[in-house]
Amino acid sequence: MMKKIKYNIAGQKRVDWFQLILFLAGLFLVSLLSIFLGMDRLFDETRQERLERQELNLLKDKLTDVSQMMDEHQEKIGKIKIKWNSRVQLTNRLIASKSFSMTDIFNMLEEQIPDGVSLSSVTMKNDAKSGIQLDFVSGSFQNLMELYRWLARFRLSILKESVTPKGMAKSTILIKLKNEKN
Amino acid sequence: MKRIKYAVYVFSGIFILGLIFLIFAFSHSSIKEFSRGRVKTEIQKLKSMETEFLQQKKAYRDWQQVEKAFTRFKSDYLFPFSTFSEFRSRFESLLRGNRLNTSRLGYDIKNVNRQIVQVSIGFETEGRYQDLKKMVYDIDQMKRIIFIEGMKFVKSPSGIKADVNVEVYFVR
Repeated sequence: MMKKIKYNIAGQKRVDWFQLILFLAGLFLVSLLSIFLGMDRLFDETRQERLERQELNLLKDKLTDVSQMMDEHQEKIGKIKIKWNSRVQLTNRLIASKSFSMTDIFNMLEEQIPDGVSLSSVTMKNDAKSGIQLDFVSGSFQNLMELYRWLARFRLSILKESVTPKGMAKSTILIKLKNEKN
Repeated sequence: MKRIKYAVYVFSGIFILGLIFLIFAFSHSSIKEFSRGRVKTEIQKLKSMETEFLQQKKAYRDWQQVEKAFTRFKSDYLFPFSTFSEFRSRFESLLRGNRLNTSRLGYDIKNVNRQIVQVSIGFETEGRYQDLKKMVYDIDQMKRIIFIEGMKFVKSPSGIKADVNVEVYFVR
């Protein structure tokens, strides 16, 4: 049997309803999403602005008389300071001096001095800024170097150094302690 | 077919309007954000003012308490001047108790102000290193304001020889 020939002689293409509805629905959803995001952004913005304004007004109300009160406090503190400052300074100085422990310095020196080095004199004051002056005698220069290495964690100044013809090394140093009286 | 075209136009229009609205919302938000910066700055300024105020209030309260604190310090940490002779015998027995040979012991009394008296004690002492260290420890351990102001020690035949300056504070 001969196959029938079919021609599509329609002026316009046939509409694919499924694709069209899918496309329009997608377009509509994207549009809705855009509007939703935009609205959310605007409302969020307005909400934040309202909260900040509220906070600002609250602070303004709270601090209405603050400037005046601060001036009053400052004036009163000034008057008390004039009367008490020298006594407060003296008290602080005495507490700092009492807190300075010479026993700790003795303990520290006992720990730091290596074998073969002996201490011939110590001068110290109740003031970390003045430092501690120490005179050492050692059988060899090498031992002194070992001592310097130990004491290098403090601020160490070598004031005088000498080696006798017999090989005896003498040294005068100044160390400044940290974390004391600051 | 025409209806389909119109439907496509309408939906495209909605889509374009949606996009324009979204762009508008974000632009508006950015501009607002910029102007909100001033409000934020003002809030920060007020907050730091509040902090400063609270600190000052605390300082004021502390300064109001200073008289009470000073009175307590005097009674708890300074020696009463009425007990000076008792203090002297206690101090000298402390030196003897540590087996140190003390000489040239001198007391220098000076008024710091109308209430507080500073007593500088200078002396030379000789003995073993351990005994000198024990004396220093005993002075360090005293609760009231007494401290070694300065000290110099050298090696001596009997151990060490030291020049010591001690400061003690009394209240009248």
